[in-house]
Amino acid sequence: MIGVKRSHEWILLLFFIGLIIIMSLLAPSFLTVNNLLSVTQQMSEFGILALGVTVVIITSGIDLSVGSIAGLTTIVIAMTYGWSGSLVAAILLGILTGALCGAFNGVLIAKIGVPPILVTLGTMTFFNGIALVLSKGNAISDLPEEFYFVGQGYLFGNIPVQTVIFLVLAILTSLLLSRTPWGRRVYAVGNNSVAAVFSGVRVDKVLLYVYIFAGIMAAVSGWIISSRVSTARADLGAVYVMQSIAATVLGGTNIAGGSGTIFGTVIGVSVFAVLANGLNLIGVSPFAQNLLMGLALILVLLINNMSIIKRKFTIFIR
Amino acid sequence: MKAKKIVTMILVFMCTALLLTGCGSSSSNAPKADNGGKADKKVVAMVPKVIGSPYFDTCAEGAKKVAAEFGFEFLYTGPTSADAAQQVNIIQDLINKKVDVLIVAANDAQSVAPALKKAKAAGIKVMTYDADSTPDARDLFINQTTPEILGRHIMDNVAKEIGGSGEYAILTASLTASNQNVWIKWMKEQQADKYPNITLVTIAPSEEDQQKAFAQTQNLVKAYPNLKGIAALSTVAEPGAAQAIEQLNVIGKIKLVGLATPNGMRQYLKSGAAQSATLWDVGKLGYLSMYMAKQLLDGKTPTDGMEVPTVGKVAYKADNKEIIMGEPLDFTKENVDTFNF
Repeated sequence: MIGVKRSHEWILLLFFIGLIIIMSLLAPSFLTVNNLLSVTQQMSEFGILALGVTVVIITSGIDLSVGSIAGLTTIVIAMTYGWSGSLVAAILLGILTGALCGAFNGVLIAKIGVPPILVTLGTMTFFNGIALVLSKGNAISDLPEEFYFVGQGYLFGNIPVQTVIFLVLAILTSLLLSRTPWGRRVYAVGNNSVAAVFSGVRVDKVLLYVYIFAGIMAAVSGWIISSRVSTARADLGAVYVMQSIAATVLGGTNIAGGSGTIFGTVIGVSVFAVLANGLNLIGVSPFAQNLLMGLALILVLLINNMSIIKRKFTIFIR
Repeated sequence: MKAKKIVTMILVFMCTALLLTGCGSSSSNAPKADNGGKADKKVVAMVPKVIGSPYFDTCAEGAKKVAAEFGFEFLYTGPTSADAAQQVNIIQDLINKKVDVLIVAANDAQSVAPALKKAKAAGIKVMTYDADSTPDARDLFINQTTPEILGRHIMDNVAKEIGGSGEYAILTASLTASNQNVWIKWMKEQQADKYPNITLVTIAPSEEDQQKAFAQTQNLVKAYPNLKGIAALSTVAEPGAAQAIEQLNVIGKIKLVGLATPNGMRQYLKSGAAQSATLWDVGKLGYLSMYMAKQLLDGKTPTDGMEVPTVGKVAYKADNKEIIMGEPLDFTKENVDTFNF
């Protein structure tokens, strides 16, 4: 089983390397330090979102509300700054908002037992609604210069701040999953929640924390997005929801739960970011870009499930 | 396992082939676009609010024509939904691609500003069109018209249709929309200046919804029996109002003018439910943008009242680095078929 899992990531990595080679050949400006750094900058936002989504999907759940949480966070940060004048308080309250939204999802899913897709479909609209009511649908942009550091600043010369944040969070999440008892329980719940209950796992508690974790990641992501575009808006995270789920699944996380790694998700996110950036540089129209991205997703998923397809195929031939 | 690796390799190659054909078919001169070394052909990139919208695509058509005349390489790319973050990503990619001129219609004035400043710092000429960013982030803004010109023009249209006296109502998008409110302010100014016998009876919101505009128009017609005209100030309000006028059978009794696209209003202009729809010639806006890109590349500053081929005289506000294309364009029964957006 472990061998198979490794080969999934190996294949994806190979695909990724192939992609980089193709892009470098077609677009000379692709393989420049500046461009590669801006790719990592662009992928950090939805990469962080995808970290939370990965953990949720490992428990065989789904979180469609992460984009709305990100959008709501941006509004909370901007409004809190507006009346308090304190950036620290604004950001803390923003992250707390993400945690609370996650807890709201978690309680409905873990304690009451509503299916995750129904809960988060509802809260997706609900959180977005709160953000719209709070902001009256307007963009808020009177944020101080210091706020832009996270989304537009650089460390060590020219490494984007959000790239560093993404890396740190990815390593932390990976350690959480692979080295802590909580991580083992997350996999156990995803593999077989009934078996998990009988081996003494408090499934409800595990799930609650999983959704809180996803909420916090969404909040961090929203904070970075609004810092990069210097604006807070209710709809800022919306485009990244499906992309982060797709990147997670592309990275080898089983949509039925039980298996998946952060390493895989990071490669999945990288594939999407490189595709978007490279195709822009080549000059492919954004419509064709969507088509090619969908195709890449299907292709890699087919490769990943090659053994199953081959088995089905041999049965069919016989 | 060995067989699997081979299969993988084959699939990666297939993907390569697909990518190659993919970009080959979608834009014929794409691979050449990335040659930083070839300095003789300037690359001008236009980024609309959203790609695939007839409004912006018509504008790009206008720009494309001049680009070919000037021997520019023309790139037209933008977000697939009117999303600020996605638009910023595309701008960043274009900076890395080292285009020579960037022409952007900002989804959000604040959001694009940091990216545009970065482009300026990288030596790229930065322009905005249709919707401006913050003025310090760009070299030039190509504005189709000003709220004052537009507001006064709409009021003139109302007066022309209802004959200089009587009651009229305004159907606005929403009571809090700032652009609408500025237009209305100028309409009132014009009314006070030139049409003392015309009275505004009410301003009704339609909440950017055609169905609401329909219902509001029905209410207006019933509530104000002496109503002679309606000015509908959004691209969904005017068709909605026209539908109501048709259904209530008051064609010709109530005159309808407003701001809308020719495609949205074509059938109503022809049926007589609406007298005119006002906007501007979007193709010319694209033409003007590209013409100004050439001026910037040549190191020329625009002058007030300068003559632009096919566009005519344009105004230039030096303090704000803003070009104003000028008078709005009325789409009527007679000319609507010559426009397609």
